[in-house]
Amino acid sequence: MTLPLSAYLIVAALLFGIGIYTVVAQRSAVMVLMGVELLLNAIGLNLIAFWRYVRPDDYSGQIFTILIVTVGAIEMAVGLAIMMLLYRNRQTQQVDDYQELKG
Amino acid sequence: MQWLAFGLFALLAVLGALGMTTTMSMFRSGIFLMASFIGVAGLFILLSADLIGLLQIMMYIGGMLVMILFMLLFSMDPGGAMMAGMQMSPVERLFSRGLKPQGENDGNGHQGHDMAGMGHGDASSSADDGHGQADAPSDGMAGMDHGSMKMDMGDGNRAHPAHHHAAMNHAGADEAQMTHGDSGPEQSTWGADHSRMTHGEMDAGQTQAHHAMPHGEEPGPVSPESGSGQAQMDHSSMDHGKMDMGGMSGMDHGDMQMDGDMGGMNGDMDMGGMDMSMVTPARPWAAWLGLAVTAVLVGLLLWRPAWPISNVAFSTDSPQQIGMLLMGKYMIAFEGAGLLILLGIFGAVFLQRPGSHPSDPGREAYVTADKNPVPISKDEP
Repeated sequence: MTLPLSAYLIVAALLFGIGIYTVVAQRSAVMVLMGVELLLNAIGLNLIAFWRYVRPDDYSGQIFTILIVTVGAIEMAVGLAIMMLLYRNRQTQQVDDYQELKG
Repeated sequence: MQWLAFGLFALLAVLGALGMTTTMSMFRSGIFLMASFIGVAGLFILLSADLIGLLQIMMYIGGMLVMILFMLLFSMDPGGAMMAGMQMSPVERLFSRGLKPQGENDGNGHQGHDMAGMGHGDASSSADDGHGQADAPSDGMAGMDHGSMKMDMGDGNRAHPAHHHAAMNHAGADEAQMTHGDSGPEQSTWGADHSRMTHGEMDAGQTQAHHAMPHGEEPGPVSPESGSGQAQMDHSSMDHGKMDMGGMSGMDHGDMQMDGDMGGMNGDMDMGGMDMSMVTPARPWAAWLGLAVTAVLVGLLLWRPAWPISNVAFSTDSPQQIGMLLMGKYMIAFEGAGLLILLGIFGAVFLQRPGSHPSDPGREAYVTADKNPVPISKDEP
């Protein structure tokens, strides 16, 4: 095990930063969902790295990652369904055009 | 060997994510996201979490990405064809290479070449840029330029960061130039000069900093365009938003410089501000936020580097162990996740059920056509 834990954590931090930038800056709803997927990936990478380096005898970290992947799949399915509905109602996909959704 | 594999997969993941967020084509964005997922899956397998790696590949790439690419069919410009003639930052230009612009865009290409040839962006080159932009509406993108220009006037009056609408503001300045005819060019040049006077020192410093970057042509279009945006601003509203705008563009410059230090995470955006652009006007704040989150995470990492690394020998049959845990200790969570999947599927189907879209024009036409059915039994022999 020559690789330090920090290497994985730095990669995950980079992914997380790029994901946050994508979520905030992108205008299309699909791109926002892609950014959310990137955030979930970064979190999963963190969990797996900590599992491997800190508690490799306890497999809970992997299970949490499985749950995160599951939640990501559900979020993507429901998000895409909502987006398709919004597209049918508005004929647009840009999140800036949904501004009357905010209460 | 381990370092080699780690470097390969990490590079794939990070570069895929960068390409995802910077390319102008949404289809390419999906492909880059797939590359990033493959990189993260490789990291998982390198961390001896084989099951999670395979799960990553199967679920993300097999399932979600197909859904994403299917959803891209509904987007306005999935191939980024409208974006391809715009000016981009170096990273965006790198990741969007080879995109074919829509229609004839000789004027745009010429303009880009002019901007690439520009150095620090003095007043004469800004006037030249104005001419290049004035040529631009003569090609196929004329209607788009005009349409978006009107929208951006409102934005400029609301003192948004007009630097992000720089291209469009510039089109607005050219529009003024075309309508007023005589006072247009000097207006544009005066705007550029005024911009230099307002934040001359900062701008010069940032331009010097930019010139050290490998993409030396990139700082060229920035300051004249911000100046032109400012000219448009002054011409339309005549208020004292100049210092504010100067501060904004100065911040953008700093942002771009820092990004250059970070390896070109995202350069300044010159093409933005079109209505069909892929980024919001909140782009610099978003970039700052992303960089700040990354910096905070890495800083926390450096602040507390001593995690208790344990070298416990662990069994290699991790899928079996995971299965035991899922069926034993985490059974509630497992069942909850399964139930959540079921709810998600039913929710998606419920959202997409027919009859819930009253404004769907195709469905409206279908319903109205079916409202008074013609009795066909009489006509038939």
